[in-house]
Amino acid sequence: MSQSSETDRARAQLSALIGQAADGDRQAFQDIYNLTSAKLFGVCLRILNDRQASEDALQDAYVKVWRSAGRFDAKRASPITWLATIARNTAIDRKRSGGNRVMVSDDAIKDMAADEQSALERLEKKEGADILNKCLDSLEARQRNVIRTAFFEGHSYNELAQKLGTPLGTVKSWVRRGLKRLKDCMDDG
Amino acid sequence: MVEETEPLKDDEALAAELVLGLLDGDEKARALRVQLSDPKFAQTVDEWNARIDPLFQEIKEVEPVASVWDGIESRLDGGSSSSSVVVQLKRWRMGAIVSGALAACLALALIVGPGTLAPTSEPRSVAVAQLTGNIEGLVLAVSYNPETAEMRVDVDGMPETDTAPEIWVVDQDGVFRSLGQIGRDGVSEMTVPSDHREFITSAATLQLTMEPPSETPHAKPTGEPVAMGKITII
Repeated sequence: MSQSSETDRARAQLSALIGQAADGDRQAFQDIYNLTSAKLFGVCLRILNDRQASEDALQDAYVKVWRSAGRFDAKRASPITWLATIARNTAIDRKRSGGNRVMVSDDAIKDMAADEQSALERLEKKEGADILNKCLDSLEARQRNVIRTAFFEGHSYNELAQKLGTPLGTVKSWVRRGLKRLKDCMDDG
Repeated sequence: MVEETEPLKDDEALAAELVLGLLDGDEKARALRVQLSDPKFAQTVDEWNARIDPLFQEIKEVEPVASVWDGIESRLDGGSSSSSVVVQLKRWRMGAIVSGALAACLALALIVGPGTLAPTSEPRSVAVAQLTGNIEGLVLAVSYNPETAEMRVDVDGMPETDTAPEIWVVDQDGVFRSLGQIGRDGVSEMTVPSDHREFITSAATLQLTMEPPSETPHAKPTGEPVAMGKITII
């Protein structure tokens, strides 16, 4: 079986589990958790860089998944993207509501990282990553950096400007120009 | 070479900024409202999500401790899934109808003896609705008792905003009739204004908008609905 049809099958399976959870199937929901919680916890840790806060965010995220499973639409998003996005947004909300006490240190993150590729990671499509990375590489370094920092650390414009010691307008301009080039590059394939 | 000079079109920029999490406060609330009300913008948001999605692959997996799942599971017991509120209430009504019918049968059996069945009167109905929208995790569970005109709204997942959630009944005529503002979190109980009670039928929807805080219901909404749900009579 080729990598991509295996990926498609695993995605279809995860989408089906979300559908069952939407109908109130707890076992399906637990299966979703078992398949995806390590990824989603990694996402929360990346944003919050604090184990306790990340555990709380992870709980909130899965309660949201359970409650909004009926709104998942496999035609609009891949199931992993949908789940990871919920975790990321939940972690960002928690970080902002708790003030800026928790600052991300890249070293701490590296310590937590495990290098083996898990079943879930094998499930993610590598082709998309190749195009995105090629296009990110084509940006100016400062454009690339603000976009990546925004994604991985979950900073708002204001927080980015503060962190970089750069005027807000300048940061916005870097981000928007970077995103414009990124879109053009990715649309060209 | 013009690539450096052109900024993104406004909607493209707003969608990308929403996806990256760059927006805060009112800007974010506005973008979420547009996402709910404008399918084209919602699609632009989906496209940006798909574009940056591969970045998630760079995030390493970390196994959470087992107690996290226990915490989630305990919150499912106390809470309710999007579909299960209505299911549970339906079961409860069904139980009430069945036990009511059973009691009536037994009473009848005592009077006329076995072998005869008379129609039993239906217990009074209850209106329920589940309101959701594009704001992740925002769920409102509403129940309404027409006998007392009491409405109970259970809110979960409301983001922080300067505005207050206001609930509206919208009949087939499309007119928004305010039932008043509710709490941001947990259960709010209120009496539905007498001139709006007739609109709480299965033909209507309940909708939630974010409005300037006010002691009295507004005449009409200022923003797009952030959550909505059909009324079910059970």
